[in-house]
Amino acid sequence: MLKLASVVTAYGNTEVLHGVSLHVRAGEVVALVGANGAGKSTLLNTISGIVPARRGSVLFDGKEIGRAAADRIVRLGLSHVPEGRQLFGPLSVRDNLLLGAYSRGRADTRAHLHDDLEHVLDTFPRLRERLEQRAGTLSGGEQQMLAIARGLMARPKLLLFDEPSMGLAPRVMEEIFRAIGELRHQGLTVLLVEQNARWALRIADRGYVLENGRLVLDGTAEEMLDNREVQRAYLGKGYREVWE
Amino acid sequence: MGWISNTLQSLISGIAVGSTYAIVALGFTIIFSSTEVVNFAQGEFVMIGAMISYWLTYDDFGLRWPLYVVVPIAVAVSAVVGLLLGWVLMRPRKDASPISLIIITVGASVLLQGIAGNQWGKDAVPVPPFTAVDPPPLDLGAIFHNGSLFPVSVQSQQLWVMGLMVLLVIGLTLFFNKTMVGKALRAVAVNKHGARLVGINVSRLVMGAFALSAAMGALAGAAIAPISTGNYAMGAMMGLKGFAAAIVGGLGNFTGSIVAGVLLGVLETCGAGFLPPEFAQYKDAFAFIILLLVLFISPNGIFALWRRKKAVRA
Repeated sequence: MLKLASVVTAYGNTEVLHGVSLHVRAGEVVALVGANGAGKSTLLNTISGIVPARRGSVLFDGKEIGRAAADRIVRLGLSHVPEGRQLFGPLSVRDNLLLGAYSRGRADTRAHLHDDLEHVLDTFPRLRERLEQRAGTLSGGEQQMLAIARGLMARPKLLLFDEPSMGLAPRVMEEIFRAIGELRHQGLTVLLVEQNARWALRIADRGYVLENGRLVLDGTAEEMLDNREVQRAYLGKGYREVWE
Repeated sequence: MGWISNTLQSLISGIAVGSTYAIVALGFTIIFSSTEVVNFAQGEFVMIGAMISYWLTYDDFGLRWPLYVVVPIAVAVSAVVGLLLGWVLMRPRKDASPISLIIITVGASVLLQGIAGNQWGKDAVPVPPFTAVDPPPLDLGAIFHNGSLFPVSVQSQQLWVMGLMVLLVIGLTLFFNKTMVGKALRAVAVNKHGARLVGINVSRLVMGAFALSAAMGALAGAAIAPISTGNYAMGAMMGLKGFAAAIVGGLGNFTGSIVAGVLLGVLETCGAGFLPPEFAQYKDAFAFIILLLVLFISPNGIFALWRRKKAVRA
């Protein structure tokens, strides 16, 4: 469904991604693990067209999107739930959700929109109570739910998640990950960036490790969880635990 | 009791003039909140509205079209000019800072003024009022007893200007709160990054915002010119006063722009009414004295003090 080949991305003269190749098959949940500053967010921003790829190709559903505009990529069925949520704070929760469906345009009927709204509200019942509230007044967990729900309103085939657990209490995080698991059962394909590698790999089928703008490791989620290098670097196990 | 009449008279003309400042200030606000650019060509749209209305109605040029045709044309031409300006500004957008874009708008303002001066000459030109008949003098005294106490005459054009401002404000409120495009524009103003991610074509929407504020400016111009006369250079003063109103209202604040615009108009005309005649030419300075005062006392606009209190409570 998604295929990156030797993608190079740079901000000005600073190259951040030095030739990244990866793929995500339909129906898969793929985790992208890496330390701060490894280029994970840049990789997602390249896929969703916020930052254009300088070289290499990004194929989504067989179409080249490496240098396409962000709004076109959303219309093709790729939603990006960004780091920091990027909600529209002064607008109501309902308006945030409806704007999530902006890319679908006027061709889509009101009835469809209403059904989808109901659907995401069933997935995140807490948002239903807050529908008329300003998005900026929600708690961190609710904002993350809203960001995911807004991404879903575009009816994506592929959903990119950037650090969904950031700044959330463990209990809320659990709820978010349960929702992501649910989405996958509904047939959604997911590319997940997460600092908390253990959580990410637990719900993922496969994983990649990104280091300094290069992919250094890939494998199934189980392989990754067992890999000593991954354990040491990203699962928070000390040298002693791993090597002794 | 002449002074009461005079005050009421000044108040009415002040509200009328202030309505146009308010519309121009709203134009600044719409552009600023979606781009962080202060569009110094905003006043030129007022000039375009006024001059095209003049051009197509007076028969020096063989044209004598009715106003209900001319005003929409003036508004449409201005909207196209606004669209072009927006397009130009969105092109170097990649890493251009707001400051360099603001300089582009200053350039556009000079250019438009030059073209207008060439096309229509440097003299003040008359623009016909929307309706020829003025309402009979309004007399508040007559409502209470039989005498003529405070006679006030209102020009029909003043009613037009105020009415248009009210309609425009209602229309904009509905647009920004009820339509998807309006909400998308607010989304762009709040969070451009988020707007891109939900698939909003930000530069296209910003160009639309330019067209909208240009159309509003032209409407204000066509409406005020019958009172103030038109002039190729009127845009500079209009733009500055609208800008003053936008700043006094707290740049980016919708309600603030309206209130400050009307307030500015009222203070200006009342001030002129009370000043001895030899100081009458300082009328235009009024707006800027007020601007300076507000900037000294509350640099984020007259509503900032109140808002800060509210923020503490929330």
